[in-house]
Amino acid sequence: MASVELVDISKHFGLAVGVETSSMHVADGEFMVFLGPSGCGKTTTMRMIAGLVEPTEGQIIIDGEDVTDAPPKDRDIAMVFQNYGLYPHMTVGDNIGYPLKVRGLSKEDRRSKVAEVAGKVELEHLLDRRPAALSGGQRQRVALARAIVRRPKAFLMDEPLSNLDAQLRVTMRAEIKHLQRELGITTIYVTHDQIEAMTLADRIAVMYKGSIQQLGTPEEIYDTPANLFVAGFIGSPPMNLIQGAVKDGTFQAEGLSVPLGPDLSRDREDVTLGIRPENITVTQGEDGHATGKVYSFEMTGDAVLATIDVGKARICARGDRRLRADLGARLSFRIDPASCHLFDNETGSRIDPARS
Amino acid sequence: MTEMAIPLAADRKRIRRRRRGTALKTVRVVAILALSLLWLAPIAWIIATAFKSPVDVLSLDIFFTPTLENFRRAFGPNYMLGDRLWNSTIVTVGTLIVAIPVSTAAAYAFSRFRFPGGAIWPLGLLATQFVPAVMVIIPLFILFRTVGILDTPLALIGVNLSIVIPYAIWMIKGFIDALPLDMEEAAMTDGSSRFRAMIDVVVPVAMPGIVTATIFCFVVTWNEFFFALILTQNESVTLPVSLMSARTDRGDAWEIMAVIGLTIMVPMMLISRLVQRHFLKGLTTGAVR
Amino acid sequence: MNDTALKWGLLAPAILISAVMLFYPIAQSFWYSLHDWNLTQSPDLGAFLGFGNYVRLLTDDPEFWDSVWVSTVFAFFSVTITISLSLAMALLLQGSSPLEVNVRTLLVLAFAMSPALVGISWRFLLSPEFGAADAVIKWLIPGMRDVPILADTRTAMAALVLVDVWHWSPYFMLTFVGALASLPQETIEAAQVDGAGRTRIFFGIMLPQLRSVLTVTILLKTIFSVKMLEQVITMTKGGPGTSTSTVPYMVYETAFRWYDFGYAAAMAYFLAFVMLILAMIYARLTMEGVK
Repeated sequence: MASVELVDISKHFGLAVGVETSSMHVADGEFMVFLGPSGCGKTTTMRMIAGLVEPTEGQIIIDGEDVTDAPPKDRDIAMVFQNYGLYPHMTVGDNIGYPLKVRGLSKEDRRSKVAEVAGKVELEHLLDRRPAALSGGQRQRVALARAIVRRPKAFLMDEPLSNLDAQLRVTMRAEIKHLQRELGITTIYVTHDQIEAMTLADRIAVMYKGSIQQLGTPEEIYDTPANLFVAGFIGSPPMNLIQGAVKDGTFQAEGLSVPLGPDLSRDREDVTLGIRPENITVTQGEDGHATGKVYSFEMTGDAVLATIDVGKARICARGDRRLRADLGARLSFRIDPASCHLFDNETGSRIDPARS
Repeated sequence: MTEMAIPLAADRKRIRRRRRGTALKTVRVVAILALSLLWLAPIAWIIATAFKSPVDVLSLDIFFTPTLENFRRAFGPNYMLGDRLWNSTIVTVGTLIVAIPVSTAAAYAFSRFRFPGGAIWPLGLLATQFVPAVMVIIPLFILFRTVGILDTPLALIGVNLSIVIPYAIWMIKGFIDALPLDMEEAAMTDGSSRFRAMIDVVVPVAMPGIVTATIFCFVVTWNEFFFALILTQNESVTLPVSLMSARTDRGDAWEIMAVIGLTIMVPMMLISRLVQRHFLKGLTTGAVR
Repeated sequence: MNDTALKWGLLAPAILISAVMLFYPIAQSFWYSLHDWNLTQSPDLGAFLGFGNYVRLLTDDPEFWDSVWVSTVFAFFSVTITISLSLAMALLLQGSSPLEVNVRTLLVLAFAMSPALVGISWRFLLSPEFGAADAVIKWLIPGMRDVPILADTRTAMAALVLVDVWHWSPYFMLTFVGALASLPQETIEAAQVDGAGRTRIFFGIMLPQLRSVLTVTILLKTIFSVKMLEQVITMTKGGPGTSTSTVPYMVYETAFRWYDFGYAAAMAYFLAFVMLILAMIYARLTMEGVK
């Protein structure tokens, strides 16, 4: 158990930048998720922590010790790989026991420890099988068991659930969270799935194009996205982003005008309004902030999603599940002024009400 | 205590990043260079010998005055390198022109049609290549003598075909096996016959596999020595066999041997990058992936 | 055109060529092996001996058994050295840096050389008076100063083996580079993270996963080594004495020096029988690889 700290770390591949200089501190026992689209540098960052990739600059500190130049074997970490990285020529039991074998534990000690963790992940009956004879979910469990069989300073998990089907993913997600809480081991988890990130993380680092866009708790990231990227990336369906300007305390775009709260009311050119679908209310009649034509109408089960064309913008609203509308029909809606986010188009960053 | 262990930001850049690898890396590079020397020095020496006067051949000096005299002699009436080169070219081109279409057709048939026993047939054909050449050559020698084509390119083309076709079928088949059926089926639903679909769709898409097979066949045929040694006398002697002519009763004309050797190697040098990429898939296709 | 017609139409040329150039000589050779036929005595097939040639071969020809022993020694050393050296070379050259890629390409040149050229070149390089390699060896190992490498029974075989290793290692090196590249990288990284060092990863994780590749390459090289003939013809001519006279070389001599075709065919068949067993094992392994 330990903290993990990255100090001004960066990675260049030739001229290409893999990870921009960034720093972060993962506290002891914390569950940190690196979230971002593919190619954002999240896996590279994790692999630098593992020691599989050498950083171009900066330092990696695990448990107060500078391990920047240490090979992976000396870092005392455990890693779960996307394709599990199981040893095909060893049985499940030998796979799980391998980290102990490398450390020179006796056969008996190994067997009892393997049995113990196998019980934890419900693999007792499969210890003599080869990985090839297992299902995806079982392989995943073997990989997890191999990680927890010794108490490493930190767990690193690289998209561990991405090869599982949707249902299994939900089960395993809960299992991982439970195990992590039970063992209390610092965990760094890489994913491109925001639901996974939201449900698992104590804190999330949203990454894009090699740099950290926002670092915060799931609530912070959802409620106060730091910039346009985070705003558009988090949430499903994502936040509506409408370009326009603020004039006389009102946000104005083609076919749309929304009064803003006093803290955002200063006049501004060239801004983007962000509003989540659930903060838009479809109204009866034409008394909303805007009216547009229905472009598509989807039933999700617990709600409906109406996509409405307003001027150049296409706005998605979440409505009551009983709501119905025909394609092309006119629909009016209201926007909750308290839930509006403003972003500067030039920098892309959030306009913070407190500082405006 | 942990704070102390962490150097200040200013010192950080001075940390020697690659401490762990430096010594090992040096050893690696030295080993790689030693290997290259072991493999390239002999070849370089042979090439150099081609440009040495007979006197220089006998000395071990690294420096010498290069001469093209050996080439003139090699192409002259004693060694007839021009004729040998021509024979080798005819045999190689002739073999490829027949082998590649024949193998492609057979490979398609083996890949797309059902056979009892499946892959056993092309594999069995491949297994004939493990039969020692000395066994096949006796009846072929008699056969060619009876038919009267001993010492002609035709006999060599025939024998070379028997060597390369089994390999070529296996390689191209492996490639066609990996192609999805969709394309052909699309072509057939679009109205082409199965044969048309093969020519118009499968062959172009399988081209990389066919190229691999072609390069393999080229290397094998161009270098083939044993069959040509037995089946030729004067008229259709190929380059590898002509190497033997440099070993005369009056002693060995190594500089001529080197000229012939260089002539054999030139095409291989030109395509060595291709050979690396494609030849690898040759002998062990299917078995090693 | 229906499918059956197309199927056989496409196969016909290959079948025809194989029939004339492969199956006919293989069968005919067996027929010859049952006869007494020396071309110097008669241009036509001689008396039918049944398995007489085989009996003579197995019971009454110490020279033949000598050559079996020579072949066995040659195959054993050329296979073990080639395979281990090429695996080591693959580990050294598996990377994608320009140095490694270029050295790989250059080494292939040795393999793309005609076997006859390899043999003749090394005969030249090892010749006692003006061989460059000979000079280097004698400079490195003073004890070898008075040894004519290819004319001494002790060193001729070693030279034959090492030249064969020189010829084949680049090819198997490339095979192993391919095999190493296809190992799942994650298993190696997992082992690194699990705490294994370099040596341990090689023997504990990589080598076991290379097992099937190793089996196939060892078998292939064995087949090639048992078949090898060109270098004997061009380098040593079986000598000095019969110290490098392998089975294929003895068949070659019997057939094309003494023109004893019947007996040579019997020897060839004996050799083919050994190869057949090896080839069947190879086919089995390959079929498994296909699945």
